[in-house]
Amino acid sequence: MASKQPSMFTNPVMRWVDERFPVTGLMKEHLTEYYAPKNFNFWYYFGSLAMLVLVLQIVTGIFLTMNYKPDANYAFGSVEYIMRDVDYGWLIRYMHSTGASMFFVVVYLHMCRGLMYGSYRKPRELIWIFGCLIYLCLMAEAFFGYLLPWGQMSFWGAQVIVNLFAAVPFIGPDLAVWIRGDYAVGDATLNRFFAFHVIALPLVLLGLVAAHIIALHEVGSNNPDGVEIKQGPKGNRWSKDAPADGIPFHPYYTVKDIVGVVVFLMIFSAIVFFAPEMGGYFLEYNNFVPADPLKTPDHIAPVWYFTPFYSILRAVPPMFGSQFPGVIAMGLSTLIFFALPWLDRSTVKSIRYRGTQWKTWFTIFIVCFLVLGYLGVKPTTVWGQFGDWASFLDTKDRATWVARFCTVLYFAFFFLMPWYSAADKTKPVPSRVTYGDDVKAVPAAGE
Amino acid sequence: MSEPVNQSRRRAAIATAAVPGAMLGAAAVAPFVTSMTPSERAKAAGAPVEVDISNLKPGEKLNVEWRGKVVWVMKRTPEQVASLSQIPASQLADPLSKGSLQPAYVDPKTRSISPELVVMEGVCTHLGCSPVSRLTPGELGNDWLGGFYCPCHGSKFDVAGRVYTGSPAPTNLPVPDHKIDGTKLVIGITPDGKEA
Amino acid sequence: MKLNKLVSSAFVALALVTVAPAAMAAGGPEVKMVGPTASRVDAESLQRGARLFVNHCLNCHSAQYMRYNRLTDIKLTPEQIKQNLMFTTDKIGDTMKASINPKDAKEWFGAVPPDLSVMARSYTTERLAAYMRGFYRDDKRETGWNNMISPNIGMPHVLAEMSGVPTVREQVFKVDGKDIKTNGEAEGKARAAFIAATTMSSFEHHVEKKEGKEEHHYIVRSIVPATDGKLTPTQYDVAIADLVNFMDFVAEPHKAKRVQIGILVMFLLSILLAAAVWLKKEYWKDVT
Repeated sequence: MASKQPSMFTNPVMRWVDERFPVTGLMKEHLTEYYAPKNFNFWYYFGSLAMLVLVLQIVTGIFLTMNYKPDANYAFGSVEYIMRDVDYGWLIRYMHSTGASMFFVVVYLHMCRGLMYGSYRKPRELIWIFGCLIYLCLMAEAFFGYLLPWGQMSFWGAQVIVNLFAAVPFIGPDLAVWIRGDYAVGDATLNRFFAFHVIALPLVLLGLVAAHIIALHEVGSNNPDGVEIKQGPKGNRWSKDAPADGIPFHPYYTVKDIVGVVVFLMIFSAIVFFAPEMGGYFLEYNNFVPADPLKTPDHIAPVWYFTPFYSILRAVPPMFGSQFPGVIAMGLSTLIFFALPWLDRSTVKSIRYRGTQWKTWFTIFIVCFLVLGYLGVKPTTVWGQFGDWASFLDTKDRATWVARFCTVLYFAFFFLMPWYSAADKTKPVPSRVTYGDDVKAVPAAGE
Repeated sequence: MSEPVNQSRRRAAIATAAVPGAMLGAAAVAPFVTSMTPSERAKAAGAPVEVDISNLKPGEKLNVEWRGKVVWVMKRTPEQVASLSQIPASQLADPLSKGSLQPAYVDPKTRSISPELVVMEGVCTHLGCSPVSRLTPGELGNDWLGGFYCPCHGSKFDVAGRVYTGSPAPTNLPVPDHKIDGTKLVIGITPDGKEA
Repeated sequence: MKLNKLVSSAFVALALVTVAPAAMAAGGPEVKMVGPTASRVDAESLQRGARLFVNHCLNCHSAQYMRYNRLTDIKLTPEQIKQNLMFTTDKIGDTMKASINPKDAKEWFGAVPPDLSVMARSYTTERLAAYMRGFYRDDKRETGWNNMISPNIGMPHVLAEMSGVPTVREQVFKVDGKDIKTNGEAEGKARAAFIAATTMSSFEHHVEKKEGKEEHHYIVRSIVPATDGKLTPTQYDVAIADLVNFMDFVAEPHKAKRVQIGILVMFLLSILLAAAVWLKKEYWKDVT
């Protein structure tokens, strides 16, 4: 695609390179002549921010591996060594631990954008699938990485999650032992998780991110109106063939994203420098206790970004004496996102032109996701027990029932979508994107 | 297409953003660079080493480890001290240690604070092998007055660690900072107490 | 006496009162921590805390990731550190090791006393301060001591010489057919006693089965501070605050530097933000 184009450089060295490698072609294709819709709003910052955090994690990760020791006897000590004895090691470590949580903040907001504006719909199904794969990969990356500090939460968190595989019928117990490489989480587990965390998954992640972006630049970006600018009129001030509503990504969106990056860095730095533990959510208190296989902490909760799914796991009661249904539900709750392009049968993409039904279901989904997330960090006794009046619900914890209710709604959002999205009364979609003064001119554009 | 693009204002905005941007960029790189310098643990392990020299007899040599290197502590006999002035300066590559590593407070010729006690790193300046003692005069030919010989590539040094001409080693054996306090020798610290 | 009471009540008014819910002591009793949790963090407090720490804690505990030369950060000179604070080593670059052999410790206390390097981060400073003020005499225990924050812990009250010997006042509320007729009443009275307590207290509920019948017990335990120590209760609280400040420093020696750098970074970022907003506006003028 990056066919021979006249070099944009006057520098002879760059011209020499350009004759042999398509620098000009690539830069034009992905930056100066990639025409993005001009009506991106706040929600469109998170793609570039996710890239930024990925780079931050890789760079800080490389420097952490210079001093970290993936050995059950030394891992905890080597993290403290980084925190104290290595010059600015504390900063690098806090950047990495904060980056892990912020990666999920950014990715969740990025996914929420996709849901709101229908960015998974035709022709962007493959972008969405690559995105879902990135998300799965990221969860695995975070899970493997969380074992490495070898604190109590690292150890018991890994123990619990690996034991989920033991719930698989027939092969479960052997599978769990195979994953751990030992009969309990131990040195072998730590060592292999380290390998996955620092090389295997980052490689896959980088490949998927490249695929995500190549696919995006092939079909072009969606926008808050869900209008295909490529199908609209042609010709703008930069090119007569480009979509009229498109603007060159560089410089317009680069300068805009810089603002987003700086705001993000302010939030990021505030956490790193003033509250690196984030009240126990980014760095858990119990993880400052070295792993002890003989002593389970009173309350084990995964890090906040896994808690919605963890809640779903806990909400499903054991059936036929097996935890497997819960494991299936949890797996399904992450995999269901893949089906979204085919579940949504609305005639419009953006939430701006959707009807009440979809908006209601979407709100329910977001609320359930947040409630499940909240419940996942708390013990099941958080809201106390049912009184005697609720004996028909047996004497389970109140929070468990709320979690069950939210779990049902969570899945209903997806499984009922083919019906409510098709039946929804949508508003007319404008032929052009709304931007600046147009927003007022088009009455249907309200959110 | 309302007003035309004001290029000079754009350039001014770029310049304004570039200044704090560059400062922050440099500030972000600095911790990563300094994180690769010796850590507190390495510094603690490389702290000055104390050696008891009360039992060191003339002609004897102690090997001491300091910062992962062999440091020789040798009490030279009067003959060995005398041999230093018998070697013609033309036979030595750097007779006054001008191009060699040694602190200013040691004598350039004997390479020691007091003529007898010499402290030097037993690491050949050619490729880092440890030279072996050939202290008996005549051991390496008739005109050999005693010294050290590097088994790797044949560099020859006198009893002050000065390298003979024609050896592959370019400079004399380095003399580390050290301080003598009666029968106590401290390696890695200057006589006025500064850490190396 | 009256003045003393006034002073101590003023002290309590200034102090932080925390009621730790189930999350903090899951499974165990509910605990109300009364008293100061930290004093103003200055070099003097940290130095006093350091002295307490090396003299009392390092006998049995280690702080194996903390190097003595780090103490220069709390304005101590290397000479002061060497002369006053180093008992187990003579190299200032060494880490803080325990005086006793871990094997002996295991024999004496049933477990190796945990390393204290990051104790303030895992246990939190609030609980640490309460823990050090939560010891009381309990003859049922082998050590003669019990603790309100960590019941039945193997550690004795090592600062008893300073604090004196605190005891505990135990009130049990249960249906007795006289004053208390129902479980609800028992709980209500116990709650009221727990709320009214002015010293550190715990609230415990357990059910005992007696001849097939369930008996609900509500137990409120309150610390009775001692007066026979070298320090008054108020002075002891200050000493504990010093110690906890120091342990907080040990847990994260770079904290002060971290905040300083953070302020500078935030300042530079806000300048960059203003410039970036201007830059964006300049470019987007021609997007219509």
